[in-house]
Amino acid sequence: MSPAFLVENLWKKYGYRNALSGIDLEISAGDCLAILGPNGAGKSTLLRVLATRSSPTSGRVSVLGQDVSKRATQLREKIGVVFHEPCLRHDLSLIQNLQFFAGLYPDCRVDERALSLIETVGLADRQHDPVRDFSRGMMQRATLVRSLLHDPSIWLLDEPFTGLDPEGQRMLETLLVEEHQGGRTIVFVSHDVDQSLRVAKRVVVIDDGELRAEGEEAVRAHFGVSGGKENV
Amino acid sequence: MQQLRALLTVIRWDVVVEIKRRESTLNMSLFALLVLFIASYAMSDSRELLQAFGPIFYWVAIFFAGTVGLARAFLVEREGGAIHAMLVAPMDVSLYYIGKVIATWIYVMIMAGLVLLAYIVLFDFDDWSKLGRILATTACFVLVYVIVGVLLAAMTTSLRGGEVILRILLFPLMIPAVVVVYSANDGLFKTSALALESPAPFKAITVLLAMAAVYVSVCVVLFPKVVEE
Amino acid sequence: MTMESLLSIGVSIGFVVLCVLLHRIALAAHLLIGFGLVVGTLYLVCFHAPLEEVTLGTSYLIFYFHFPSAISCLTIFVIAGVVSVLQLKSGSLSHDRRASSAVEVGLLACTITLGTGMIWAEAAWGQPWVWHDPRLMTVAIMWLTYVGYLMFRAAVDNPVKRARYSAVLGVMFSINVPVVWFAIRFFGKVSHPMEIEFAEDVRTIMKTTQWFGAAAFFILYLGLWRLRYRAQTIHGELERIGETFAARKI
Repeated sequence: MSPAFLVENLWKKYGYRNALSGIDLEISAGDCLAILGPNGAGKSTLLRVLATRSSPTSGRVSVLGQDVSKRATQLREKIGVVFHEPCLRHDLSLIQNLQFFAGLYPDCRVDERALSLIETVGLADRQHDPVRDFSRGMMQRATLVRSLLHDPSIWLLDEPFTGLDPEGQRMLETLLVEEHQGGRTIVFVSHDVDQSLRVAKRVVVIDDGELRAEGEEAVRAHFGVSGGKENV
Repeated sequence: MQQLRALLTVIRWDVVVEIKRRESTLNMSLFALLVLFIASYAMSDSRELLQAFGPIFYWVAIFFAGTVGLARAFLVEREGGAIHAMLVAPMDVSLYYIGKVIATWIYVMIMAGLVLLAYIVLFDFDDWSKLGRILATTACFVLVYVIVGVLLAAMTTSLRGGEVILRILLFPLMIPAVVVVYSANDGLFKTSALALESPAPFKAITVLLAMAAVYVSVCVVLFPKVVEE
Repeated sequence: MTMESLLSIGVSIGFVVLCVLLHRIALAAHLLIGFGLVVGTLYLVCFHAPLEEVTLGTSYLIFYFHFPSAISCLTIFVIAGVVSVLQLKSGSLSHDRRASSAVEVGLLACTITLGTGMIWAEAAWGQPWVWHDPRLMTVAIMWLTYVGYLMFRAAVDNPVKRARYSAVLGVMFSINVPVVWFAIRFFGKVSHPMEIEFAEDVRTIMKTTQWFGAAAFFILYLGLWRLRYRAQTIHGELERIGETFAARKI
């Protein structure tokens, strides 16, 4: 079976700055990977390249065995993305946002599954309210629903716990585990080492655009942390 | 089929929201009406002046008011970051541009329709047989306008002073279209007593459509470069 | 093909090769050569070209400065358009610097074209500006568009975005120039012909002076382009050093 992602010698330059320097990474289908690292390390950049939002300066990225540079439009059907920004239309309500984004994906409707997701994230009683009236945490929950609307086989999340209250964080942790158990490939960016180790099956560290560590021990050693809640 | 569905989604939601809220259309229309009011008042002493110079203000009103709508073309998507989610959807980026052009054309044309109504009243226009060709010429002019304007709006929305920069960039690019419609003014607006020899409006429409074809083929290729990271 | 047209093609190719070779020599030498050739043009204008033209009288002499600037600005804007396409393909910041410095120099040439044109128009027609003439309007609109280009660049802080957006504008504006030309040519109401009528016996020296001046000014403008590109490269290098220090938190 083709890996969900195969990244070979990935470089991404912005002007003079190397945001990513020669990243090699393989993410198997059905894997749950957490990407850790300090601010400005290149984690979000890597996620945006995997999401096909950003194209590599050099190197090769394959999604499900297919080269992203040749088949990006088709591959996007299989990828759901939660960006750092909420990525919702503020002029619409939650339901209307979902109807809008559903129209951009094949065979996608706001159906029972979508309504069930809205229920899961705790926005059932606010689904008809305009998104511009939502708090940051509510927008984050709404974004989770938007990203899963088309039932993607790959789910990418950039700092998804940002803005969520403790209950929301627990909800998302549960959702990530459930979706992973359901067969979805999950890649998420985080600052919380312990939370990431709790949720993900695999953890890597990116620093200064390079892959620096992989696996629990190496990650803990990299950050100089032992057990207990630690952020980086 | 999916690409067509996505295109229709972009158009439908932009137009539906605009018709419900009427933000851009109202702002544009009010601006245009103000221009026509002032011009009409300034020339109110003479019917001949109104008919001779009125057409200029018709195009000026559409031209300047249209930038109000263009400046808002990508505001909603940029504001909430929705544009990022749209650009990772399985929709050809160029189709997203075409969808925005069509949606913007629709509500700029609504404004143009109101401007024409106001023009008929304020500038004492009574040659009803010419209404069809005026509308057709206006539609083609607005098409060129939004094809260029939507691309520029995509670039300038996120800049400081973006609205001013949009106008500075748009106006020189629109001058060829202005020259064409201005040359057809006599055939479009003037009564037979005042009409001078001028290229037929049909020629103006043909040239405007040719301009639109040139600009759209270039903009469709350039738009993905504008929104890429 | 006649001997004359073959000769023209040969001279044109030779001139292009010369311009490419000039890029390889030191910038100071290039600028000196350019200035020297412009001084040579002045010499030809003052001592060899006839002082009066058949219909325009002595006012035509400004043509030897007006024409070179006009042809240079058109050529340089086309080059800027081509380099903009290269920038879009490669994403290279050096292509962006080439394109923007070409636009700056082209705008200088365009300003000189408009200025000398207005002085000439005042002398020849009694008014500094006329509408509907395709050439005047095309140059005026070019000037407006590229001033807008530079204003736009000043409003974008991010160098990568600025490079990409400027390249998009560069391509759009270079396509706009022929569109403007054809629109005004076919739809302009009144056309004021501007023909330089040469008397038979002085036609050769006038043509020689005209094209010598065009070549001289073009070589000088190319030198200015290189100068401006160098200044932008140094500025870009300073930006890069600043970014590196900021990234390393020095």
